[in-house]
Amino acid sequence: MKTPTGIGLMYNMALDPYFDLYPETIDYVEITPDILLQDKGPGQPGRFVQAPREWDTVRRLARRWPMVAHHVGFSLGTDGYFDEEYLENVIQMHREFGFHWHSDHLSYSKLIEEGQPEYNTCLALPIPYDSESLEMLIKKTRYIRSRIDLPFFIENNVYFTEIPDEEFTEGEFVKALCTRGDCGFLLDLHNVYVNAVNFNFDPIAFIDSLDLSMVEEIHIAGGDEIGGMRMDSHSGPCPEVVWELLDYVLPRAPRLRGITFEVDESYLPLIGFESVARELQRARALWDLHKTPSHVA
Amino acid sequence: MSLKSYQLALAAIVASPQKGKAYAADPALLEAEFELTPAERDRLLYMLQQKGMRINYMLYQTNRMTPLSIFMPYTFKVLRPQLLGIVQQFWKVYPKTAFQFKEEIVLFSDFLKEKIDRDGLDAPFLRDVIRLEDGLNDIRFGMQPPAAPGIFSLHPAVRVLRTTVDPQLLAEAMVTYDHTAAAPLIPPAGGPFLMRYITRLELFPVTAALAAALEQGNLPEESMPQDLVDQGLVLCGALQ
Ligand SMILES: [Fe+2]
Repeated sequence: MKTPTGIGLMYNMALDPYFDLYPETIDYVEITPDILLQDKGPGQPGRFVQAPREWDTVRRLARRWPMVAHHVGFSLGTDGYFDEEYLENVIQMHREFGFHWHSDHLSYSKLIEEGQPEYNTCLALPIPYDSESLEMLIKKTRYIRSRIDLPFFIENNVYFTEIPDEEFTEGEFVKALCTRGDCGFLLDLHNVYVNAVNFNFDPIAFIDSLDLSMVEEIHIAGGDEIGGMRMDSHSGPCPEVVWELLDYVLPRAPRLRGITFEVDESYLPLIGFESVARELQRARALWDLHKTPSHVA
Repeated sequence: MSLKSYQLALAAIVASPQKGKAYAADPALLEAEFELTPAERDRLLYMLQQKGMRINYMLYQTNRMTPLSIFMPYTFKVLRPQLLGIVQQFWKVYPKTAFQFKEEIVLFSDFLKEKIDRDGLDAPFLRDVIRLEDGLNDIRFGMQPPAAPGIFSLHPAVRVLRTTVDPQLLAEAMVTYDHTAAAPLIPPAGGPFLMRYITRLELFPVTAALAAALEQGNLPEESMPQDLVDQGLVLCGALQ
């Protein structure tokens, strides 16, 4: 299938009926393979087991739409760790689905201690924007690129505690990583909004501090508030600020391929498919307004 | 080693508000446990003071609890009033969790069974719902039924289930179970069952002798349970 540009939807199982109800709202489907796999753990024979029913659905979607992958399991931020078997499995899946690009997060979620099996931090933890982390990440993204001939993007995260006295700003760090690490930037606008609210900064000023020529994909989503802090819960429609940010970024991101809407499956019964369609239509209207020949080439 | 130590320390903190509090009160504890540069130590101490650390604690707890609540929903329902305390005791014993849900679920189930036997942990139908969910999870995670050397063996999606109350009625009651209402009356099981789970739970009563023989693999050829073989619950080695 042709490399997609336009509007994508992050797949989850509760969305299954959506694809027949509103097929015209979608240009590509983004999957998180990790949620469709049972991981038996490092070193186990036949380590990654596909859940048959879910994979059947994804295969059917792959016949109708271009697919892209959004991983959660590389845990790229973990120092002294790279999961070679995980990468092999990504290569396998790419053979099957022919992903058009893939991505993971700028954070860490797995750890390993001497002589013990790896363990789960249970939440994506931020990495310090220092040269030590930068060099470590560059090695990994370059390695991934060398093993899979496919654009690879890294996504900005939310954080709930700030790390003081970092060597780089987020913008400087991401730019250096993308340039030297041979990867693109997946800019999650809702994550920007969450951090801006929680740490009281201007999201537009933050966007201006980024090199938007690195941005190849955008995530949009909704969230809610818990304990006085904004959360990236993907709980429904995007807040107005996210639309304003999208409108601001689109004419400034010449290499953008797609805008992906993320919604958590637990909220779907509450918000309904129609509201998902409305978000995708609104994203498309903005995309149509700003897209240029360089985007759709 | 240093960035790695810093990452281990931050993960240890978000997994335990008690540890976080202790480190904040006495930074020497943090330094003794992790090999940190002064800058890394200061970063962690600064993060510990931020209100967002409470969100990190909450996210850790929610995310760690989610797989258990998905794969042991009935156990969670009957334990509801005492759940958080029990889960926290579990985390104290197992401060780390793997990415593999299977492992965490088996550990939690074993932890509960031990608490029932040793500490008298009690809740309506607790032992029965754990057995039911153990069976379902065993099948879901594709664990093999106990290896039996004989001619007859259980289908990989079938297990023997021994409950004190009728498991069919128990499973139905659990759908609407509410710990604040009186526990429903469920008649006794009257013997073991074979449970099959492919797309839904199916239950078939069997005699205690047959269940034991199937599990131990010593069911003689002449007592072939024809109806169970016909229904695909029991595989017959001689016929394969
Ligand atoms: Fe995202």
